[in-house]
Amino acid sequence: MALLILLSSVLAGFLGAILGIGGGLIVVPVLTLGMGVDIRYAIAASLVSIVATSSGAAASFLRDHLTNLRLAVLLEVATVLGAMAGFLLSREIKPQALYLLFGGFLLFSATTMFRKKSDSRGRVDHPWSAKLKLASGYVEKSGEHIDYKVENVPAGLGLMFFAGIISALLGIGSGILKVMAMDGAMKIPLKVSSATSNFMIGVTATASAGALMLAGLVRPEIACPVSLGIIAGSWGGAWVMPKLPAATIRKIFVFVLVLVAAQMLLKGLK
Amino acid sequence: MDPMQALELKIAKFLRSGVLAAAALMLIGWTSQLVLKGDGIAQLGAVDPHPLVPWIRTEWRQGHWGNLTAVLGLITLLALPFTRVVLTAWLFFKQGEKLLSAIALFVVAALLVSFALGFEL
Repeated sequence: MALLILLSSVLAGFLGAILGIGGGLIVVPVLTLGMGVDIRYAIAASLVSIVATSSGAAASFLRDHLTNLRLAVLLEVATVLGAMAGFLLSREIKPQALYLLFGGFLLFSATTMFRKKSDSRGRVDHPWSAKLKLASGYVEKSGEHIDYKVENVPAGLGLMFFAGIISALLGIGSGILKVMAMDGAMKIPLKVSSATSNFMIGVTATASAGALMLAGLVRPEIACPVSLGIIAGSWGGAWVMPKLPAATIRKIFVFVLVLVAAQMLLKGLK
Repeated sequence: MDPMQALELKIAKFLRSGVLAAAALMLIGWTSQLVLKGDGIAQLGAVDPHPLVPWIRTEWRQGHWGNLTAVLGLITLLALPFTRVVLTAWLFFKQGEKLLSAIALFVVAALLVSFALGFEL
């Protein structure tokens, strides 16, 4: 069973790296539906693995100067407070409700992945952004220098708070929500949004994973194989990503997500 | 090199080394526990929490070094983002960015409060 968890986590990390999502969306259903692990243990193990992948990937993004460190520090205030609220809520929510919420979030993720994203670029700096000097820029591979400003900071903070709640409740990084907040509300280019989201995910997950660890819900029997598998899988995925037909994989994965969502929803309704 | 880039590189190096150290500890601890005691996953079908501090004492007394090493790896992993925020606050402060440094310290305080909630459960 432990080796099965390790192998499915390698696959989750591999797919996560190719598709730009965290492994939690795959690992939690595998552990609960496939191996009969209680959803609260699965969520705790998934949160730990998110810290591992975020820290590993953040190192690469920082080296490429894609992460907006100043913006990340500001938004982490909202995501950590959201994670605390989510942790407190999780104590009151029954496992059935978690299955329903997870199923609903999987459907939402599938829809978001299916839609093609267009890039944004902020033109007007919000006063808070000007005060904290959040506007920045990066260099494309073609050598083009892209400068951007940061709009709508309060809306971004509100959405990050919500992303923190969802992360703690479901044991996922909620990177999709974070990217939507930065790209959609704050008009930050997609590459910077993805890199900054990845950087922040680890801190958001630590807020609830640390509490769950002290409370005894992070069990080494599953947290270790899940984390090790996802670390190995995500390194492998990042390595082969340029050689794979990502668009086709994305379509197949959306189909799988919808199937798993249906199963999670059915389990929640039982 | 501009100070922001130097700061980013310092944090990147710290995170990469930390993940490697945590992964090594988890791998050693988990595999030795797996070989000596089995996977223990069958008992995880229903929640029966063992708060961390008393659990560590029990494992220590019983000499379950595999589990203890695995947990040390998990703690190292969870300490990375926390230490990264502390490091960021310190580096911003050194660069004279007092407001950003204060915001980072607020995140540190919020993380500590969230950990304290774990003791409450």
